[in-house]
Amino acid sequence: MEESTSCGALERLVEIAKLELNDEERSVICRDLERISRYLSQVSAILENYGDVPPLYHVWEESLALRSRERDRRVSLSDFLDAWKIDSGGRVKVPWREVGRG
Amino acid sequence: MMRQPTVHELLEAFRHGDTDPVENAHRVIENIARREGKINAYISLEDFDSVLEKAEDSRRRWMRGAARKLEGIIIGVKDNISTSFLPTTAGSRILDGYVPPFDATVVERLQKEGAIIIGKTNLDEFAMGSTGEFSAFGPTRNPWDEERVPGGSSSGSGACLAYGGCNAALGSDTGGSVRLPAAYTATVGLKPTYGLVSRYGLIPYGNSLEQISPMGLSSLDVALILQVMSGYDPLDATSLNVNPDVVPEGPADPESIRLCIPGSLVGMSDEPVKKSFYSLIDRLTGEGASVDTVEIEGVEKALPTYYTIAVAEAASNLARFEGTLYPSRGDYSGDYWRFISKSRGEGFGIEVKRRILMGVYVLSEGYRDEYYLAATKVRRIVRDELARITKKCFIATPASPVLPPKLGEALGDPLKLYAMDAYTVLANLSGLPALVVPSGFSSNLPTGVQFIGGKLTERSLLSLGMLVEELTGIRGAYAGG
Repeated sequence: MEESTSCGALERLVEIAKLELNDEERSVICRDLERISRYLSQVSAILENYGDVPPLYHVWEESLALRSRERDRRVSLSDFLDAWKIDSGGRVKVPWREVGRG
Repeated sequence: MMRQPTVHELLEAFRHGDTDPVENAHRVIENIARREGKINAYISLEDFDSVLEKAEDSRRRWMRGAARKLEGIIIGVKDNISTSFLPTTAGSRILDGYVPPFDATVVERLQKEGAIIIGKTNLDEFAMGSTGEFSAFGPTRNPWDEERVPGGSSSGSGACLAYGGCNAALGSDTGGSVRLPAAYTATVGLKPTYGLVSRYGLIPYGNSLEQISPMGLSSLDVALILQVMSGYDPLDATSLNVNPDVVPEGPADPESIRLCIPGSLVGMSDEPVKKSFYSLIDRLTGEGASVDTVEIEGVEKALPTYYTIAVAEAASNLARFEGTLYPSRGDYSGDYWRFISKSRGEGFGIEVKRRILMGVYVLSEGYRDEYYLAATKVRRIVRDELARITKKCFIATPASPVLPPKLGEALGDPLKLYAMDAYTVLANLSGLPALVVPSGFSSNLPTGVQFIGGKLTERSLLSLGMLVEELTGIRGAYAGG
């Protein structure tokens, strides 16, 4: 953990998160990340007192609405985006979908 | 204490012809003109002539007996809730100039019942903050003491209510973001049961935790707003298929009230907060309410659990903001990845960056199990424990462990800032409803009490809120300035 929260690890996090930091932000966040990660690491310690607890991702996991309910879309992309911003599949054109197309 | 009319009182006065929506709109606009320059509660405001025209339409509707449920009521909407008629910035430079092509479901529902949206209220950037100081559009000040914060992240919603710049307001609550401002501005805030209110159109921060939430000058006002905005929405996959009546008939019978106080948790509060809290509890017991002290399993780790989940969801949610689409800034040139790193670097403020980076960290290969997965497991322990306790009583705590801090006081230390949410995150982790009402004043600063109820017990919670207002006499509090 020490290594991950060091300023060196911050560089990797910044790269993954696609975030540019200025020098002042870099020094503040470098200091804070180590403190915050130490603080958040308390969470796993408490689990030692319990058996195998399943994770909870949604508070009412038993009543998740079905995805099919979302299918009736109220907004169409063509209502608010210029045609050149929409690809042939009706999706927003984004660069990572174009990677490899030459 | 100076008073201002509540929504319920205004609707009654409109009905009887004692005042009308135009007169109300003039009063609100005057308050904005007088206080807004210093308080900074709004990021954008509707043209006042347009507000007065809508108020005139409402006046006519009242005259001809065609008034709707919130006819002529003026509402401030937090600026992370989409509106097609005003920009929606989420308090961030990266969204400066973005006008959504649609209205959030809650906005549609309020307007359909005659409410007038007067403006978009200030907030901590992307709702990440507890003081209202992290907005790219400048901090909001507390109308009760302009050197202090109004609480966050729905800072502008609480502040505009307190100084009379709206009749009611919408906020969003991910970890206490309507309840802290309610406590710090002597207003009322309710975080509804997760799924009771549609999140369609809310710019997301922590999807599994947050709810759009009403704020008002009384518990009854909050009930009236919630009644209109809640209910099933097919556009939100997490919307509950329920449509309950949340408006109480009156204050709760004190003898029917059973409260559970997590003693060791409340013990962490500063002395003035504890004094105000226990003084209210004494009054409630004096009226016949019963009180037990309880210990809640896992509660001591609720705050780091909450922050682990919140930052993980934030990192994922904010990945969509890459500087070209929201708002559209045209084509980019050169290296795409460098372009978006630069855009995000320039567009996000320090707290948002801190949380995104922390989120990437807790989700990263090798650390995910130790942090994120562990937090989702502790969340289950806390959720089950709170659900069990709230079947037999309302959990009572102060809303915040501290009085409203001075501007800048908590900014330098993120852990100190996060600790302000110690009591409020419980309801977000568990999905349960929680109400904050004023409990009194300490050194002329407002204090609030929080009650957490069982799933979908909003009506009972709000009737308890009405009882507290009867005891404290604080309803429609006006920070006249």
